[in-house]
Amino acid sequence: MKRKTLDILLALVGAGTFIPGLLGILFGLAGETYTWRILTFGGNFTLWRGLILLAAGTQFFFAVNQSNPVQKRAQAVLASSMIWIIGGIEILSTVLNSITGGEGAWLNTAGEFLSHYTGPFTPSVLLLPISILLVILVTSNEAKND
Amino acid sequence: MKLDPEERWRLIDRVARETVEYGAERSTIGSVLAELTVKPLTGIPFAFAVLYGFWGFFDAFAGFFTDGFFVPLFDDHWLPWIQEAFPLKGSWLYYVLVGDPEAVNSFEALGMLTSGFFVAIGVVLPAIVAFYLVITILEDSGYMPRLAVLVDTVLHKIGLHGFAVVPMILSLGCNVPGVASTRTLETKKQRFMIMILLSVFIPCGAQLGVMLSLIPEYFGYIMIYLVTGFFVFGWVLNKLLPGRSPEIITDVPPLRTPTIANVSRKLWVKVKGFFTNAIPFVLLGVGLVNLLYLGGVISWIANSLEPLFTGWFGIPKETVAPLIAGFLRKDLAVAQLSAIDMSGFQLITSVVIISIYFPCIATFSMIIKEGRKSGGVIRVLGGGLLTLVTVVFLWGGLLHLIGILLGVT
Amino acid sequence: MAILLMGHPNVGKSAVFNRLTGANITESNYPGTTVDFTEGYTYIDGKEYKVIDVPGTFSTDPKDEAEKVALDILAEHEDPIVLVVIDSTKIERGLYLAFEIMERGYKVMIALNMWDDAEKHDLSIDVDQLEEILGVPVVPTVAISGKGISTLVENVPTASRVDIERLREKITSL
Repeated sequence: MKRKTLDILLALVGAGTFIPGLLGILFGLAGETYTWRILTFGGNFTLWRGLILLAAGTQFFFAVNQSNPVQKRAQAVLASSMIWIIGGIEILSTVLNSITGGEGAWLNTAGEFLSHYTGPFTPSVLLLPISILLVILVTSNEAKND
Repeated sequence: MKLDPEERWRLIDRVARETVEYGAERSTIGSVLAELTVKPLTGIPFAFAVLYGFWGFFDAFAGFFTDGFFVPLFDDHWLPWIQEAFPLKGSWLYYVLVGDPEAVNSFEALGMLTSGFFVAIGVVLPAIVAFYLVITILEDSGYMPRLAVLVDTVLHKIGLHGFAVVPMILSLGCNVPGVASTRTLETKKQRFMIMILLSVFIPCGAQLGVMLSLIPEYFGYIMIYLVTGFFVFGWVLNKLLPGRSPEIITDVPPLRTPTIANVSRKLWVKVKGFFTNAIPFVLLGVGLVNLLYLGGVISWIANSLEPLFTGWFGIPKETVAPLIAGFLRKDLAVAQLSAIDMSGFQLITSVVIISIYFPCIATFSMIIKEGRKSGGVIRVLGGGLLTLVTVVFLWGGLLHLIGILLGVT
Repeated sequence: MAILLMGHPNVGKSAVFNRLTGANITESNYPGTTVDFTEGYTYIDGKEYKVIDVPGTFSTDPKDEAEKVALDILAEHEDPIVLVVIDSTKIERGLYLAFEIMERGYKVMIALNMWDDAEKHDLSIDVDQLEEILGVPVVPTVAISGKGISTLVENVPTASRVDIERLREKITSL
C-alpha cells in the first residue's frame, strides 16, 4: 500500500477514535447517557473510557506523523490495542451479563440472552472490527516488504 | 585456578568475537512496539488502558460469579436450608456455626457455615482467580518491568523506585506475596517503607472483592483516600528515615505472548494456596468473633473504646467486632460491617479504618519474617507500629474532620 | 547426582527447570534466609538426578542474599553438574558467570536459552565452535516451548570440568 493511502487511513481511524473519546469525556463528566442509532455513550466509567479513546486517537495521529514505516505501523498497533482493551472488556461484560438471569433464574432465556447483543454499542465496540482490520493490513504489509 | 575479572572479560570478548555474529539489528513492529510501551508519551496512555483493562476484567469476572451465581446460590438455597436443617436452634453452637436464624442474606448471617463459606467461596474466590489471571498475564508478557520503568519518576518522589510497583500490584491481590516481594528492593530503607506502606494502605484482592460487591458506590472514595495516604505517608517516611534510594537498574525484557500452559499452572498454584491458607482463616475468624461475642468480650471492648470510636473517628462502637475479625481476614471484616447500621460516610470511614488499623495476621507474620532481613525484627516492628499508630490516628481522624467540614457526618 | 541450574535472573531458568522436572516440585525456603529455591527430580537413562533451581545470580561474588544462598547450595552438593542457563541475546554476561563456575572446578554445561530471541535479533551464534573452544556441552534451547530440552538432557552425562590454564591458551591463540 502507498504510504499516502496508509496515512489517510490512519488519520481517519484516528479521528474516528478521538472524537468519540472527546464526546465520552463530556458525557462522562455530565453523567448522562446519550444514544444515537446504534451508538451509545454512558454506563460505568464513561469518563475513563473516553479518556483512553482520546489517547488512542492521539496515538493514531502520532502514527501519521512518523516517517519511519516500521515506527508508523507499530504506533498504529499500539493505538489499536488500546481500543481492543476497552472494547474487549465491554464485550466480555456484555457476554457475562447475558448469561446470568435475573431474580431466581440461573440462566437467561434465549430471547433475553440475544437481546443483549442487539445494541446500541459503545464506540470502542464499534471501533473494534475496524481496528482489527487495520492491524491485519498493517502487519501483513510488513511480511510482504521483507 | 582463578582468573581476575579483567582477564575473564578479555577472554570472553575474544570468544564472543569468534562465535557470535551480530546482524544489523532489524527493527520489527514487535521490537518497536516493545520500545513504545516504555516511552512516556506513548507508554503512559497505554499503561492507563492496561490498568483499565485490569480493573474492568476484575469487575466483570468477579461480578459475574459473585452476583450472578454465588449470591443466589447462597441466599436462596444454602442459607435457608442450613438455617432449617441445623439442629440445636438457640444454642451457642448454632450461633457460632449458622449465626442469625432470621437473616435473609449470607453477608449478615455471620455464622461460620453461612457468612464464612459465602465470603470465602462466593466473593473472595472469584476475585482471587480474576486477579491472578491478569497478574500472570502481565508477568508472562513482560509488561510488569515496563510498568516499573514508567512509574519510576513518580515513585522517586517518595524515595522508592519503579520496581516498588511490583510489590504494590501484588499486594492488590494479597499483601503476603507483596511483602515477600520487597526483597527485590536494594536498600533496607526501601524495603521497610514499602512493607509498611503496602500493608497499611493497599487493600488486598479479597477485600476489594467484598467492597465491590457490598459498597460499590463508595468504592472510588475509599480507594482515593487510601492511595493518597500511601503517597502522603510515603513522602513523610522518606523525609524521616535515613538511608538511600538507589536508581533503578533493569533490563526491560522483550514483549512475549504468554502461553496458556504457563498461565494456567501459575494460576492453579495461587488458587490452591488460597484454599489451603485463606479459607481456614476466614472460618476461624467468624468462629472467633462469634465466641468473643458470646463471652461478652466484644461488648466490653466496644464500650471501653467508645469515646475513641465515636469521638475521634466518628464511627459506631459496634465496629469493634469487625475490627477484631479484621486481624484474621480483612475481607471478612468488611463483610461484617455491612450488618451494622450506619451512615454512608461512617461506612466509608469504617472501611478505611479496617484497611489501615493493622495488617491481617498472615501479612503480619510475613513482615516479621521479612523484617529480619530489612534491619532486624525489633526495628521493623517498632518502626512499623509507630508508623501504624500515627497513621491510624491522623488518617482516620482526618477523614472524620473532612466529614465534619463537608457536613456529612 | 545433582544438577544445579544457575544463571542471571530472568533468563528462563525456571522454565528450563519446569521442562526438566515436570510436576514433582517442592518449593523451600533456604534455612535461615528468605530466599526461595525449588527442587525436583528428573530421570536420565534410568538414573535419578536431583535438580535444583538456584536463585538467580549475576556472579559468584556474594553481593546479596540470593548470591550467598547460591554459593551455599553449590558448596553443599558433592560434585554437582552445573547447568548454566544463558540468555542468548546477552551471551557475554552469561559466559562470565559460566567462567566463574568453571574456575571453581565444577562440571559445567551450558544452555543458550531464549534462542528464538537471538534469531529475532538477527544474532547468529556458532554453537559448535563455542562448544569446541570451551570444551563443555553447549545446547541452544527455547525453554518456554520446550525446544532443545531433549538435547540438553542427552548431554547431561557429558558435562565436564574445564582446565582453565588450557582454556586460556586456547582462547589467546584464536
